Amino acid sequence: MTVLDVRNLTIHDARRRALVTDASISAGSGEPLVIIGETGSGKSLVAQAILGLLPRGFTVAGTVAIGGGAPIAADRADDLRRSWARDIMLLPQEPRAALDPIMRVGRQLAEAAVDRSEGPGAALMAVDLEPSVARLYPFSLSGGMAQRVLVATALVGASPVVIADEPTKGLDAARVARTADLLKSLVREGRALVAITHDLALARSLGGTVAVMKDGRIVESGPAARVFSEPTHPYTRAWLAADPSTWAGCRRCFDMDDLVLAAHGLRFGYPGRPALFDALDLHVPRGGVMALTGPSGCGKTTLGNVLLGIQAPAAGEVTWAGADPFRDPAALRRLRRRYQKLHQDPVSVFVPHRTVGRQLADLGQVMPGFDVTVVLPPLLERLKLAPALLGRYPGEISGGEAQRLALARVLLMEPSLIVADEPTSRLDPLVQKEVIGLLRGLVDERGMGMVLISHDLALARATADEVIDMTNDRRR
Amino acid sequence: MTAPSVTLGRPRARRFPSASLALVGAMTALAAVGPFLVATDPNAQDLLRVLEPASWAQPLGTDHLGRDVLARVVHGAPRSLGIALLCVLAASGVGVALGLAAAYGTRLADAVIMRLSDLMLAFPGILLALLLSGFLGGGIVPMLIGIKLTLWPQFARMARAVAIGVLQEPHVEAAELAGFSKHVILARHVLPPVLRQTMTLTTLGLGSAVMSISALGFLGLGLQPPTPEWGAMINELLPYLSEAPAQMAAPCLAIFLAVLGFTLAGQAVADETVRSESAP
Repeated sequence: MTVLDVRNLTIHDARRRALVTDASISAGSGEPLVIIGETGSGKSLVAQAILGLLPRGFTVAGTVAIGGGAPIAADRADDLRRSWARDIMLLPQEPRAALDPIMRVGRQLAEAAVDRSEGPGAALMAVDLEPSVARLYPFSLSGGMAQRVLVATALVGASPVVIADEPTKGLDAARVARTADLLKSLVREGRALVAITHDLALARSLGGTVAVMKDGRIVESGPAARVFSEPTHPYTRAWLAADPSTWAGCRRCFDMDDLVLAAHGLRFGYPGRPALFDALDLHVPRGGVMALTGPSGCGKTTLGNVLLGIQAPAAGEVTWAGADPFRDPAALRRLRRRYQKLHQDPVSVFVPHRTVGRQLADLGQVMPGFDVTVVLPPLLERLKLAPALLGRYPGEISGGEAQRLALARVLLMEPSLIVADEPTSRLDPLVQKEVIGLLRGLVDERGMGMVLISHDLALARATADEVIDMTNDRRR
Repeated sequence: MTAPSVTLGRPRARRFPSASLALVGAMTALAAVGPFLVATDPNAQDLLRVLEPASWAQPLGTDHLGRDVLARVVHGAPRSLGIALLCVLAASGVGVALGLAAAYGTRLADAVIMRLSDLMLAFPGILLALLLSGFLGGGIVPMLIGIKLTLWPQFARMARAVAIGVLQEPHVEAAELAGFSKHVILARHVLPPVLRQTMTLTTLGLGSAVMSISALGFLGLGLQPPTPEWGAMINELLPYLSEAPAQMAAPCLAIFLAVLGFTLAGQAVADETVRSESAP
């Protein structure tokens, strides 16, 4: 039975630009519907329109029928909002923010439950949580537990439609798989699940129907198996090709006498907890790419900081081109700018209240003989960045552009080694492929070394010459 | 991507920012140019014409010594508001500097500065100014020091909290890796957000400083007669309340409007700060 039927949804913003054009989707009980698309494709707007939550000033046309009821005009936000909790439920991106911080889990579940005679225990067990979790407050839940609690809320509630908004954003591979299992439990219970994501792994594992959105239009839709095996639209094909597991790996041999970075017997741990890593050795030759991978919290970022001389190791030594930054302050001063970091959130490496161009020019203050007008233009061209971007503030730049600008900032310092900490985890797959290709190319051109930190094993394997899996420090 | 909750939670623009601006603007204009427009000497006595009601020559009447009340209110404005501004600027300067030192300095510096600010916060605000003025005799300097001492801890705490947050941000680490000095990082990365956040306190602080100055003046511990000052004027006119209520209402109204203006403006600044931060 069809419980969500959206017909001819068209959304314009306050300046009358079409953001979504003529989108129709439907989902039946016990069926997942996955809407995939990159940032700005309009996929989240579809969810907001269904919930009657579009920003003020937006105009919307089309109809939404929820729970088998009569179609409601999509511009009647108040009528749509009346279906909340009764016919439709949202699993938001940040699950902890959706729970009342001062109410115990059990009471929150009871509030949503249709059948109040049953305690919260059964629902919690259904999502693999101990019944005792009912007595906890949201602040003592981890992100994953909070998500489970929300799914339990959906299970005890009556809503036949559940919308999951980017349920796996920023999660590592193991957690993506667990979240997919969790969402599938909703489907098994006969709910219609609408998942909005740019995560192909999640889309593959949920199955059901897939709708691919680009520039506000649904360019292709159909059963997941068909869309993933025989994509018809060129955009879908490009998207699938951007999946790192399909890239040709590249693994080369290097002259191991010419190292930009070496580390021996590294150990680091926080007091009272087991060491994050111990007796760790690694070597990065000129022109080589080393990847560090493993689940969140395994110490990848900490190791990156140790290699960059930011955090001192408990034992072992780091060698930058023959000098130890922790024992040789003169070498640290001399080599500091040559060992750089590319951050996960590229926008945040720029001060918010200063234009990007000014911040790049600021580097001249610490680098004698640096003339931004000479070195920057060819670099911008190489990174395919428009010079007009330099006049913007960091908040006015898209994720892909920001990562390339952050890269430009680092490259201006002519680094010998870049530690790239999850440089693409916030980017869409197509942009990720572009940025990774760029990074690899630059490593070759400039003969620098790179340490890539990523929770995505497939990406690490496809990019690096050597992979260290920090789950159990096994080299692949 | 914008999560739906963001749409629901975005704070609305509210609380008459234009009204507060007009009030603050009017008060500033009164203090800046008023004394030049009202040429009457605020201290000129005319004992034959005491406690006279309003007339064309003296629109607010005369006080118990026959002085022109309008002239005294207008000439009092630069004193009350000017001293308030001085107090708040000094307090914010000291507070922000100490707050940054606490955030950026050693653990010991942090502990010392923060316990000191706790100590100051534990004092009932006006009491300290009262004590100082009492011991050192009235006048402008003890009053300045007293009010400043009660105001700086708020600035220090706010500056410290904001600075600690900013220092965790990747752009600070990126600047350190690029080899920028501590001073540059402090001035370029930390100070601007700190100043933006303390703007609210500065504006609200002006209101409370005007109140404190008037209270001290009223108690005879602030500016000394015959200097025209709003608090002192209320004190002088208090015995004649039944005969000349309008004369006393004038300085009261002036204090009321100044405090109201700065408080509303402080709210508007706070709203603006929140809004600019939650904007996409």
